Amino acid sequence: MKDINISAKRIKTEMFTLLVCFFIGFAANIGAVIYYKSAVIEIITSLPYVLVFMVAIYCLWSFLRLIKWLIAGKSRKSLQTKN
Amino acid sequence: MTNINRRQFLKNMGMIGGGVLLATSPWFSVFSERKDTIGSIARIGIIGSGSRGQFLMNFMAKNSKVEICAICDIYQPSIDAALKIAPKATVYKDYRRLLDDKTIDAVLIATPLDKHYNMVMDAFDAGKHVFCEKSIAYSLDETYSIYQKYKSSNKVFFVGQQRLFDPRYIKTMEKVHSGEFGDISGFRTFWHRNNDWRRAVPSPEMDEQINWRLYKKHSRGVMTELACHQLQVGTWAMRQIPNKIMGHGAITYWNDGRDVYDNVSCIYVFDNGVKMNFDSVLSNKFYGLEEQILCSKGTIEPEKSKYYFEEIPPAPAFLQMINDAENALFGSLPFAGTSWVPETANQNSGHYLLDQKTPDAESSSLIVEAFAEAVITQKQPPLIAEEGYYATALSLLGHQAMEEERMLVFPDKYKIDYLNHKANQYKL
Ligand SMILES: NC(=O)c1ccc[n+]([C@@H]2O[C@H](COP(=O)([O-])OP(=O)(O)OC[C@H]3O[C@@H](n4cnc5c(N)ncnc54)[C@H](O)[C@@H]3O)[C@@H](O)[C@H]2O)c1
Repeated sequence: MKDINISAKRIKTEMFTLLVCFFIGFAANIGAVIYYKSAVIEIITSLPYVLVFMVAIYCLWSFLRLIKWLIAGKSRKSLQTKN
Repeated sequence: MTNINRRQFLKNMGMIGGGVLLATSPWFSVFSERKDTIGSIARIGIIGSGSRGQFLMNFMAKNSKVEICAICDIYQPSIDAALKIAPKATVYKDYRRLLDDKTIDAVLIATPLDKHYNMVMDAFDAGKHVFCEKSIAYSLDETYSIYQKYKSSNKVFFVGQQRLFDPRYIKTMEKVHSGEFGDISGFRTFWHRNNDWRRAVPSPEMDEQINWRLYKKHSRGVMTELACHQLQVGTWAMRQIPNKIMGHGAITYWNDGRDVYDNVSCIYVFDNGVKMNFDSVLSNKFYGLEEQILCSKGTIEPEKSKYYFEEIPPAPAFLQMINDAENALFGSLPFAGTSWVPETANQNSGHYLLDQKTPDAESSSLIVEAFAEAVITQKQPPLIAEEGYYATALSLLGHQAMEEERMLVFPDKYKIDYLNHKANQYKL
């Protein structure tokens, strides 16, 4: 079996991405509380929803990156065969 | 439940102290003098020791202020069962002999409906306090005469409307009367079951005696046996007596020789147009029994011990935002906005009326205890006889409306001084 090595840089990037996702959710929640004129306490009580939202957009973002990586991989291969 | 436990129980319910309880349920004043009655005993005779009689005797037997000193019944199995609860009681087969016993203070009458009238009248004549099981009597004339007799007797008169002592109903009335639920818009009361309502008989010729409920000669069927309880909830909540009554009854399922209806629907109309419906079918039990009080700000279901506000708090803003975004992306109602959407029942799980689950027997136990207190102090608690009177009157009028297939107006001659009614000068 092959060892998978994850570089410290990659971990840092993913943690940063996750944090960005969380802040998007958190900001959206504050915006919603203002827009729907809800109780301010919902900024705290809705945190579980924000966390689920964070995971959802992180997965979406990862999926988009995966597709980009696959497309980039294919074009790299076709360039190699042409040369 | 002992007296001390019961006091604690009422305290826990927030039902002792403060005027709210007495404003809604003035008959609770009966418990206010209980300290002076410690050591006193109410000597009670039971007339009719059948199913209900025994049920109430069980509470009396546990009450240190009650002595069951006599039993009267004409059916040996009822006597045998009652003697197991009160082994020292003297047994009579003729209720008049029981009434002759001067040491008896009060009687509980739990015989078939058509037997109540003579027994109650004779009991008052014999100077006894009376607890008469609901409904008071078989006809309006009899019910009215009993009420007048009680009024002139200076004796205590209770009717077996135990919801008056049920914590769930008392809490309901507190909420309704305080205006928390807005205006009352209507009542939907129903009592459905899916059985023939028959009891096993040792021999066919005893059918009428044992299954008296199923024959018009002895009973008014579901109206006097079931509706009576539920209609009383309506007048208690409205603090008004409905003046128009209509209905229809039929035998649609149990064609087994009975002549009382197994399928009834009645409408009682209050002066302001609010309606109280009573329905009963004996061939479907899905919805069971309930008295739904429909108000402008919410609904109360005392049997389930629950209430529901019309306006339910909105979902958290974050979820609303997701929902709106989803609708904007994928679309929800492509045409005509929301006005065409049928008003299907609300998904609203509601709240409980009481913190703790109240055992069903609680109210019957309390009403028996209240009666014993009233007998000892010789003081009639306010309004309890009047609530019983109108519960019976309304169920009998419902029956009459169904029989005559027409709308009835509450007859002036049966009105007494209570709520929106004024007694008529007419004498029977
Ligand atoms: N408050 C309630 O929730 C409630 C519940 C059930 C019954 N009830 C009422 O209680 C009453 C009795 O109902 P039940 O279910 O106990 O009926 P039941 O048939 O079980 O009992 C009636 C008893 O009366 C006896 N009886 C008949 N004629 C008599 C007479 N002339 N002298 C002495 N005894 C006589 C019968 O033998 C029987 O034992 C009815 O009015 C009924 O409406 C009230």
